[in-house]
Amino acid sequence: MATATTPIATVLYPVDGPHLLAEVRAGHAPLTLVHLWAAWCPPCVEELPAVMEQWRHARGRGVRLVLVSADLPETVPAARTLLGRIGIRHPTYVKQGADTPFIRALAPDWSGTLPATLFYDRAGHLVRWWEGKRSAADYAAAIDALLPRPCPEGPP
Amino acid sequence: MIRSITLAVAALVALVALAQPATALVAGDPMPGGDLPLLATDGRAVTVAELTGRRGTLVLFTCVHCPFVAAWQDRMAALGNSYRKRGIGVVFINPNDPARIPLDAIAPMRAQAREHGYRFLYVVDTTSDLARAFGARHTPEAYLFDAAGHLVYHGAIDDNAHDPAAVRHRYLRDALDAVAAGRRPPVGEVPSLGCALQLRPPGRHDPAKPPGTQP
Repeated sequence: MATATTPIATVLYPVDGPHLLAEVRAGHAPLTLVHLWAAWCPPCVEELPAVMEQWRHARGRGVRLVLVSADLPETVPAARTLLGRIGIRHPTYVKQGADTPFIRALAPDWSGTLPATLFYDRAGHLVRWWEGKRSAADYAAAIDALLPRPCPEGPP
Repeated sequence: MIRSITLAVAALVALVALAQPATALVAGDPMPGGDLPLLATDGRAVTVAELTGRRGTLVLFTCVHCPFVAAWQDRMAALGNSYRKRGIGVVFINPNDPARIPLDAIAPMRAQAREHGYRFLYVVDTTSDLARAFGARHTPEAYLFDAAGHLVYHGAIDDNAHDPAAVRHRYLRDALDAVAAGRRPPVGEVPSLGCALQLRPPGRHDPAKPPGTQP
């Protein structure tokens, strides 16, 4: 019987770099935030709830969130448990295949450090990225700066 | 008008700062931090400058807790054991703060070295300042210097942490072969996934105590 502490069953969809990028582009969102994390990575675990919170604030403005676990097969169960424990039901991918093409497909200058956060515009171009844990203010500032401005209604 | 331009420039500077990660060493840079204190798992106090090889030097930032290190562990140890016999100075360095990650304390490091048959020095970066000097970001992360002490390769062990049988590019081995032969590696930098470093706060130095010494 399920209890309040039972983890939510979360599916992680396997994806490689090119297919992830295709998925980002297929969404046609004004701004897509791709967040890469892993269950064994302490700063990732600390940051993940805050990333979700920032996205909840911004999703009404068209920001799309794509979560990608970089867990190895042996730590995927821990990733699933973590998502359930912090109540994330958001569709989540898990990285598949070789590391180097995955990194180069998503952000050629990314060193591979986790967590990593990548912002793509509507055309699927990488417009900002960082690696390591950041503050909620950093996320809010980046989203404000990167979201396209609404068109003016006409000359005054 | 001037105030608007100033604000715009300040905003631009802030945005650029936001976008860029910390600076890392680039190809051709000399080895930094040669005099910083390190503590070997056998209790010796050393510096990285004392560990250079006549043909080159492999500095590999690693740790105990990281699953990517575990996945690459046997390949990393084999490379270290093999190339130290070919004139390459080899040192594996753990810069993580054991106060934040207890598995990265020196006792688990000793067990790791024993279990995987390290025949080279495995050291604690007791201030984490060597990792800062290198601009290292995660474990495992390899830095290979040539005989003159200039960086010639930085990054991945190979292209597949999880599945050794599926490896297509043995980047670090190829670079080590080149340096041992006095040549420049075919590839200078390759990214890899890894565990973000958890460094000691600046200014803290974990005192070097030989094994068995009472505090």
